[in-house]
Amino acid sequence: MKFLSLLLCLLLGAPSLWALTPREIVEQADQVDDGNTSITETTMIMIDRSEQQRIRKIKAFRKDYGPDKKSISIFLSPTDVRNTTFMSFEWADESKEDDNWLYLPALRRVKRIASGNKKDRFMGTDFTYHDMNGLKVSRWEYQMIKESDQVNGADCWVIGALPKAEIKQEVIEDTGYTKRLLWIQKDNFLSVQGKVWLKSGGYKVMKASKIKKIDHIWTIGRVEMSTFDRADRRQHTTVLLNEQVQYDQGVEDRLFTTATMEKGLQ
Amino acid sequence: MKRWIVAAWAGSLLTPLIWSPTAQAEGFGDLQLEVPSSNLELEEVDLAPQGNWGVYGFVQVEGAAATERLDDKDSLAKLRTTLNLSLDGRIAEDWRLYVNGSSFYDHAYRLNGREQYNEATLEAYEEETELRDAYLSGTLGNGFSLKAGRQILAWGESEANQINDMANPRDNREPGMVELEDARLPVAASLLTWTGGGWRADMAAIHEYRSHKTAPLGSEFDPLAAIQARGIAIAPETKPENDGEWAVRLMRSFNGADLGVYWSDTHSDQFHLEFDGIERTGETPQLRLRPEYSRVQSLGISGNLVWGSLLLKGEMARKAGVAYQRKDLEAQAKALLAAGGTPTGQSAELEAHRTTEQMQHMLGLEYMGWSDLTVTLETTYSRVPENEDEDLLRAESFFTFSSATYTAFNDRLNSRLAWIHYGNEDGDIYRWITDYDWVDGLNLYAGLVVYQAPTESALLAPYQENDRLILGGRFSF
Repeated sequence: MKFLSLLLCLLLGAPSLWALTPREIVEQADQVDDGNTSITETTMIMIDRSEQQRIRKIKAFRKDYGPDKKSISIFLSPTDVRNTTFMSFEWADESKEDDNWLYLPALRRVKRIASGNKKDRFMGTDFTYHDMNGLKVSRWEYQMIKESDQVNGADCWVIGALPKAEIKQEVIEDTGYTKRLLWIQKDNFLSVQGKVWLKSGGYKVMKASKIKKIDHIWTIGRVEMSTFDRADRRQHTTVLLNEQVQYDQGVEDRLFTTATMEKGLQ
Repeated sequence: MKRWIVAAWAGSLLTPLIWSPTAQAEGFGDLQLEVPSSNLELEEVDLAPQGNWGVYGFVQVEGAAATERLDDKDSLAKLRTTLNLSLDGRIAEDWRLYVNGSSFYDHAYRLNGREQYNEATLEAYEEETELRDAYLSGTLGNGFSLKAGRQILAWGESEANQINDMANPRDNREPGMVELEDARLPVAASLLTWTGGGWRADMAAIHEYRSHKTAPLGSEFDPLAAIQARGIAIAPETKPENDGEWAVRLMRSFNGADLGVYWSDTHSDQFHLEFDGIERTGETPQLRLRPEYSRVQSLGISGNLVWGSLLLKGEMARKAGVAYQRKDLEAQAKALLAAGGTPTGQSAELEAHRTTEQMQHMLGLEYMGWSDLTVTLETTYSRVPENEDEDLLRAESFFTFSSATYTAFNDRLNSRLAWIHYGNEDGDIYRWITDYDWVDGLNLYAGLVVYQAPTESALLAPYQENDRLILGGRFSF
């Protein structure tokens, strides 16, 4: 049986991998399985130029509704932001605006917020809102830069991405990025390294590590994003440590309400 | 001079919009593969999951100087130490207990000499210990949840005004000095909520009556200073019976929009002045008024709409039982005395106020399209519908709130400039505050509050000398 699988893989799988275009690879990386629901506790470490660290802990619940996605995230610490909650409904239909609400415990009030500037930093980190939700694959053109490169001992494709010529300025304005490099691991299609050039000058580098399977789903345990200036000096770094990850453990629909945000997600 | 200071603040907030360096994309050939290493060593991080209970809070020290009298020895207007403690925990599956209390002591009164302040001022500003939120909240099943205890029901869309937000009074002892939303005072209430299919219904029974906290008579922010300057005496206020208050809200969320309908039957949080009598102790008879609170019924709607980076919002309410002061108090009193009358508090012959209907309309926007900058603007128009009585004070009024908030250094620095404009030439408040997260848990801030009044009869005229320079720090634990 194992022999048959290997043979099928050699006959069918391997040629199809070689036949993948850079865009198809990026599309597969974009659609990598992350379960229908997830519950994650993330530790967020923000490190400035003088290596001073600020630490935040977030608990997040996500549920997919077909191609649409609902998520709710609550800050567990530090105490000055504890219970701050962010809820988002992301719609696959590009004609629909995402819905976002924010609960600020100091004000005891849930307020709807505009989708806003998605190139802005997410909660002061080096990740933008676009980085957190994923850039739209269809708005970029791709080219294979290197067929094989090693990252943490794993074989990767290195793919370059430029905004599509006809919407170049629009994409640059929307994302704040002028060009990108993606290192995609060949065996699981995870983006394990990235480099993006900023419209404002300088660039950012993303590195993923501690990759393991949880509930049969490839999961990144550590993501580091650093911002460098034009002279290659590190300006700021954010490290995300994903702990306590659970997939498909039953996230109830009633979580995704403004009443839950006010009540807290203890 | 004050206008120049405000213009400088605004300029400092807008500079990042005007100057923004850009680098343009080239071709695929320019993609350099070198990836530098950050070479960072992380501090030890506790990765244990969060427990069911937490005790946390902050210690804050805030000093304020009265900028109009910096050379005087009593220019220190505030040196307040505050301790705020919260207990937050899960007592059962889906049930949460939250208790928050706050206590402060202001050293400025002792340092300046307590003898120069009246008893009411010391009572209001020198020290206070208060139980704020204390509630139990949980899920009942079938979409129902309950929240019982002292709580804040922050309803409506307005950041600055109470249109459909009728449950909680505000702390107005230092107008303009705190964020308007931060000033809400909790009340004991039972809130039953149902949610389902994008709908949300809230029914609240309010068991405790609290009015706005206002500055006491004779203090720097005494709201009745102008009336007393006209020779009118103020009698102790009469609080209403605690006979129950009610508030109901129905909300519907759509893609990109929320709609709400509100009804409430509450006592007004803001006093009006009732005729209390005429004192004949001196040579000239003196009119005496007494603060009282009317019962207000309100029916309103609210809505918001997202359009790209813009959030449009609006609110409207029709209220019954709103008390408006009359402008002709002294003329009425003079006419009565001339006719030989001896009006008393029980007499209906002198009408100090009129209870009538009120319409309130609010329109606002919030723009988040510029990097790290949020701009908010909202204006509220209030009027007495079909009013023909020219002697009602502020029967028609405008109130505008605008603010610009800028964040920098990975959200370490936040700077907010707010401008509150009162229509009818009643004056303006400018408030600028900048805070910086020095390290995790330690936040330092500085700010300036400026009061302007175009005329001596303006609402803010008594506060013109009360500008404040603020410096403070908060340690959260």
